[in-house]
Amino acid sequence: MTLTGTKTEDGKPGAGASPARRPAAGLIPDDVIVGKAFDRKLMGRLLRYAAPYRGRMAVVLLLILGATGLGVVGPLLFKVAIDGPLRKSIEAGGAFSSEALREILLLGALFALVSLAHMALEFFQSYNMAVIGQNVMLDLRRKLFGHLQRMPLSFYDGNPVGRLVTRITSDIEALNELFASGVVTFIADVMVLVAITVALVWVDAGLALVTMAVLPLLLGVTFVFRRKARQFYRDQRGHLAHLNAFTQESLQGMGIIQLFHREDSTFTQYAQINGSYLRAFQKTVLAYSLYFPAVEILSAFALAGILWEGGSRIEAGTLTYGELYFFVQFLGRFFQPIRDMAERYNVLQAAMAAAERIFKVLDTPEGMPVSPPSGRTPGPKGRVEFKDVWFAYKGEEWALKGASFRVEPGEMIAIVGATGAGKSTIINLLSRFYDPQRGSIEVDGIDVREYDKAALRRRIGIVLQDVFLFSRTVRENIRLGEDAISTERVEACARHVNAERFILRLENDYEHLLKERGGTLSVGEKQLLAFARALAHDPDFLVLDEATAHVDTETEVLIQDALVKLLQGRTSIVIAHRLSTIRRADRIIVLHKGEIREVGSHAELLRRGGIYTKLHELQYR
Amino acid sequence: METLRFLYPFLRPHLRGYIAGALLAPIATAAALAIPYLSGEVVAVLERTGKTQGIAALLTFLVAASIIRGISLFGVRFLIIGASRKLEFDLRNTLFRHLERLDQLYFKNARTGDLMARATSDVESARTITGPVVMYAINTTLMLAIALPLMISLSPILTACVMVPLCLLTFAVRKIGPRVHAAVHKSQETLSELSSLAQENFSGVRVIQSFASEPHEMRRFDDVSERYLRRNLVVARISAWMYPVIGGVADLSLISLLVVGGVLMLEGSLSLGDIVKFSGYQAQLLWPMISIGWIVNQFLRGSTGVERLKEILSVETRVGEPSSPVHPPEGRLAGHVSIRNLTFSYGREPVLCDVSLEAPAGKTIAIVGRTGSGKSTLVSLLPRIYPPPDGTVFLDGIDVNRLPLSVLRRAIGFVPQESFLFSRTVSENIGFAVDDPDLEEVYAVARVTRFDKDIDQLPRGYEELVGERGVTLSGGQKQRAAISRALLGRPKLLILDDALSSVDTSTEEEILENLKRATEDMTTIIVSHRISSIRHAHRIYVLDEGRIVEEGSHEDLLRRGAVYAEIHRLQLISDELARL
Repeated sequence: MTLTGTKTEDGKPGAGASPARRPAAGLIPDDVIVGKAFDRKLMGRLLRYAAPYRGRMAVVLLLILGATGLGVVGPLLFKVAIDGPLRKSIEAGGAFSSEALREILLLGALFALVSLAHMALEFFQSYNMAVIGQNVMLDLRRKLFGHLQRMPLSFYDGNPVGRLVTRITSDIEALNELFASGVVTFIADVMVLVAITVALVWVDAGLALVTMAVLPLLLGVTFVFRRKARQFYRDQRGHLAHLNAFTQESLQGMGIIQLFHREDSTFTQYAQINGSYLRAFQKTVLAYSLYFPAVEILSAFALAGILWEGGSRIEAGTLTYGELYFFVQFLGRFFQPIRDMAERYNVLQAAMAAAERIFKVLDTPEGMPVSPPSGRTPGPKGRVEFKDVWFAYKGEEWALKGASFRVEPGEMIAIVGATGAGKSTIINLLSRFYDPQRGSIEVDGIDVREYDKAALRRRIGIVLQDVFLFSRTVRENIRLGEDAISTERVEACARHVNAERFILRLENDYEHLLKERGGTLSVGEKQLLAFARALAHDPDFLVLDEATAHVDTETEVLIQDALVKLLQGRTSIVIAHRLSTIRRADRIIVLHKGEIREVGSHAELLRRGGIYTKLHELQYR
Repeated sequence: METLRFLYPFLRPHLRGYIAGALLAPIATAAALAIPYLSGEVVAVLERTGKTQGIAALLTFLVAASIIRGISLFGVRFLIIGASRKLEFDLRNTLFRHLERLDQLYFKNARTGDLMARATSDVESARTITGPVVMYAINTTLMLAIALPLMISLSPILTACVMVPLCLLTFAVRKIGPRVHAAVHKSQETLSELSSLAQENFSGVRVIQSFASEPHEMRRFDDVSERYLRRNLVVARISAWMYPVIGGVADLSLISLLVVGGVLMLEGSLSLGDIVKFSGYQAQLLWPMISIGWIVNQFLRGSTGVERLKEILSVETRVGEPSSPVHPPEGRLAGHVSIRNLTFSYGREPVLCDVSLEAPAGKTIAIVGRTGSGKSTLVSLLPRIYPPPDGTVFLDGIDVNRLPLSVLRRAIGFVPQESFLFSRTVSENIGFAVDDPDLEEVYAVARVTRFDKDIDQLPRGYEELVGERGVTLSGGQKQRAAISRALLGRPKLLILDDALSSVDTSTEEEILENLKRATEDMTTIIVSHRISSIRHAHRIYVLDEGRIVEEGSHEDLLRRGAVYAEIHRLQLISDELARL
């Protein structure tokens, strides 16, 4: 029973105050998928994560053992009281003696002590259980996040961000349920059941048998109920997911629904789905409405049996009143653990499905191996060379078709071309976000596949068109966690690339907390921030994808000025959209449909009257 | 009280279920209390006579009582919870129907996520208030009303001693409940922080990897994860002592029973049978006493949700049916559009300024202009997606604000900029405009947009599901599906809002050619960036910053050598480039 509002399917308060794991509304959830409740291999793998907390788990088991024992003591004290000090009064109908009074008070005090001890043990037990669950969850979550961090971009292309977030959040939460309440509580339930049985048999074996006579029936009813309820609940969840998905889609497409005047027919469909949901839910309500009364009737039968058999035994003088009372009182405690154990099955099932999804991600290799060094003598430091590079993101749709070019140390080249010409692919390959299917890319005369990825990337500064800013402070966005960059350096770099002017206008300047994706900044400001970021990291190479978006003239001047400073002394590749930038380049490479079609200076290319001339007309006037 | 008044109209149709449930409830309660009463009587008989004589009858009553209890309990649960479910069903329908009537200005400002929360969790709180809360409230009241007199008649003192701890229980639940709730809320906040962090991180993984700042990100993530762990342990600590405390307070009531009951027995004023009854009553009262606290907590929390529902249901649409509708002659519209001196704004700044244009029935006109010049807004006012001011937008000379929405919108085939398709089959999407679309017509309109060739390539053709669980269509395919959809209703006015932007130029030409043939008596308004799609228009309007700056035929505008001519020149070069 709980008081916090987590509810079981019929709205009855249910067990567990753990943070809710309500799935995101409207998704066709993975979590409707039902797996096996128990998979030995998966379980073994999961238990490995619990291994570091072995000691604590043992303690928890001991605490459970103690708590279970103490739980039996209370009703036993009643028995002692009835058969001891109260017996005379039962037989004689009132026989007050100070000694009997003292004994009663003593028993009351003992009960109070036992109850306190029981409370303490229960507290430590459930708290420690939570500690184990939370720690396992933390470890696993860390591992999963670290793994995802190192995954290649191609992995992210195929996995929507939302799905990965679900792995990190709700799937791990489902495992927490398993560790925090599933396994250990299951053991606890078994122990309670055993303890109760032992206590009953110990007090009177014959009566214990009568009490347990209804047990098979109870188990049967519970089993059938659980199976049905689970099935109904699953149906209900499915219908609810459908209803939510339909609602969400209708909200998104409300404009279309209204435009085509389909409000009535859409509503009819909605009401139909809502109706199926209602019917599925009514089945669950029916199952619960039947189960609880059935359990009550069964326990009344058991009670009648105890009273009948107990009465006859008292008549025969082979049973005491205390013993009878003990059985009557204990009857209720029998039913809870059985019901709970059935409940665990669901937890187990959900956890197994979640574990399977998590391990599937963890088992995906982190990709792109580092080749052994070829042992060739490196070329001049600061040179980049593409050698007959062929690359396709998928299948045979070549984004680059045999691209070859070389950028000498300190040189600046501009790459121009229409949308889809393959310009950004060059950036992706150079930083080794992808590997080409054919050909090779060399930095300082060494194949990029031989570099440690982090070391390679640290040498290459990238400024992309669509600047990605984190919802953190301006300073953190420039530094990006590189501790070696001092506060002074952050500010010096920002000043150098003309970003400081607008930063100082922000509230709390460098400590200004940016909105998601840098929401409140203009395109030009984001661009300047990205320059500051690149400069602060002081790369050997600079790769820049110029923004195409319109920037006001004043900011444009600032950007151009900053660009010059940024390019100084670095080998750079610029995907250029502005004439001024192109003019500054040592050479221009014209990329068209994945091929390098023209190379030369601005004047040379214009004179040729080819692709560049047309691009120039279109984009740079 | 406000909450109840709002819910009452929804409750009324199901009142019969509630009343029937409430009438059964006393039987269920009385039968439940009969069980400990009869057990006590059995023990009392044994005590008095030491014989089992007469016990059998009592036990038969006990079993009978339990069966009555079972049946009536089933009735109470099923009737009341069932009624609350039907209420939820009605409430959902009402809410959905209401949302369907709201105008697009409302949806522009509301977030889908918020609306979804209204439709899910707030509706659920309404159900909790009208279902379990009502049921437990009735049960608790009855249980107290019947059990207390029974207990007091046995011993007022013992009643007091047993009840005081039980009242503490109510109090404890009432106090701890919100604390747990607050702690859970805090932990959930951290979880959503964790989830945003992960979300941002995965979205920006490219930047993180290119600056090799994975270790730093890992530390950041660890920080939040650890904070989340601490917050969860706070929740665990509160609930770890909450359950034992509840158990302890219940024990306290049993201890009173043992000590005070024992003393009373020693005095001879109470028998063992009475003690058995008392302990049975105590067990029956335990949950109802706990549930009072739960009922109050649920009610308080649920009211906020219901309040939000009330708020949303009281929003009024800005695009409603006209109060005095004008029906077109013979119920048919010809498709003559005129816009006169239209000025429109979403907020303060006008988006459209003194715009006038004319599209004679059966003719094609075009609107060109830069992004943000107001083209989409202009065409959205025609089907009243956004509300136009009175006396500015006319169809066949009738103010669109005075046409019944069904007449107006059925006359218009609209293809919006973003081609939204539903996750249904291809043919359901194309046939969206009508009930039971004729398949031949679906095929015909798919042919017009050349979408039929693409559909033939799909594994299940017209029966293929669109969207996440089916095929993913390309931008161009979606646009062509959307045009087909608009054509199917045989509109008098077709509006293409930049609806061919993702279709390659040669296909575009073909589609336009087909359209011309298929839509001979249809008025067409084309919004586009591409000259090729509009050059044949009867009249072209150039929009800039909400004003019409040039108008005329393609040739007229080229001759003027201004804005339109420049757009045209660049277009030619880009076409040439694509061919290289």
